[in-house]
Amino acid sequence: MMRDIVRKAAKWREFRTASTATGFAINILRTTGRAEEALALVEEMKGYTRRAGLGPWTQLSDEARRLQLLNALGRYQEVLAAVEGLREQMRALPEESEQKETALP
Amino acid sequence: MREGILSTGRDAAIYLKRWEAVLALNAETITSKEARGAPELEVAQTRSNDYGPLLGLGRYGEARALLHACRAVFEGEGSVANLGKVFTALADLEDTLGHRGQAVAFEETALRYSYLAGDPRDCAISHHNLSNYLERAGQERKTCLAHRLAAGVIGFQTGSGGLATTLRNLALDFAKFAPDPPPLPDSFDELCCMVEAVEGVRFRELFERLPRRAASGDEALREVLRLAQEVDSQT
Repeated sequence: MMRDIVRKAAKWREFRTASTATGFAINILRTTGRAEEALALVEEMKGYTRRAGLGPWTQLSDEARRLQLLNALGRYQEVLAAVEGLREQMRALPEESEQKETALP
Repeated sequence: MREGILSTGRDAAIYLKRWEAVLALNAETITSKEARGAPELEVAQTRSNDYGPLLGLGRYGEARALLHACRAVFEGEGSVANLGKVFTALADLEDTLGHRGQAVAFEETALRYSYLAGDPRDCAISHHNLSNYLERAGQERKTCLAHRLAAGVIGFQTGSGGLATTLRNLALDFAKFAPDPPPLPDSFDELCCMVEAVEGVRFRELFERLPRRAASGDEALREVLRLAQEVDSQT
């Protein structure tokens, strides 16, 4: 059902809804032990977030979700390396975004 | 978001036992929390996370000082659940240092606070840890097993993910007594009496509040023993 909502939202160019609904689908997959399938949806979610015009903190929240999935899959080295890079990126980001955000800094 | 990402990185670093990285990530989380004016209790909770990596690095004095500083904050805030956790951490530290009696005393204090806070998961963890520390301190084996069984009964009724570890450890306990049978409590009543010998432990009351996966205490105890014996026979 969630995937149907995503498909319809994307078709109607309601990208914010598509991003949120993909996030719900990812959560469901993760909590039911299907982290690999959830991971495959993250790039799609990132695309919807960008197309919805949401700002850098919301885009970071998508990346955070990817890293949580990698942890669930035991890919700790990748997570640690990615977080090292993100620390620099976060320091450079303004606390007040000029774009719409659905995630707080 | 910042704190969530740092926390995810910290989790990965813990799995990798990269203790310096764990400390660095937690330090940045603390800075973030202080910068946004988080309450002192929340900051102390985050600070207390450093005890594990400090133990991993053998920086025992720093770990002890940190835990006592956090304890002072938790006492000041009346945060009973956090006091349980901090005493569990202190017990872990003393056990690591081979201070068996002190580890037992701290875990008993943790158990009292856990019962006061009423979180079954924390009570089960403390019963389980206390069983380990009592055994290492050379205490009566029946008492050690009783605390392990109490953890198992709580885990069974609540469907906890921690039950598997408790069952594995019970199976190891049983193996130590083989070919003799392990000295087990005869009934749920006896189990309650044994674990309630620790001041502040109200195991029977807690059991009454748990989900009824097994209909009675005796049935839950039988199920835990049966599952542990299954694990024992598979190993």
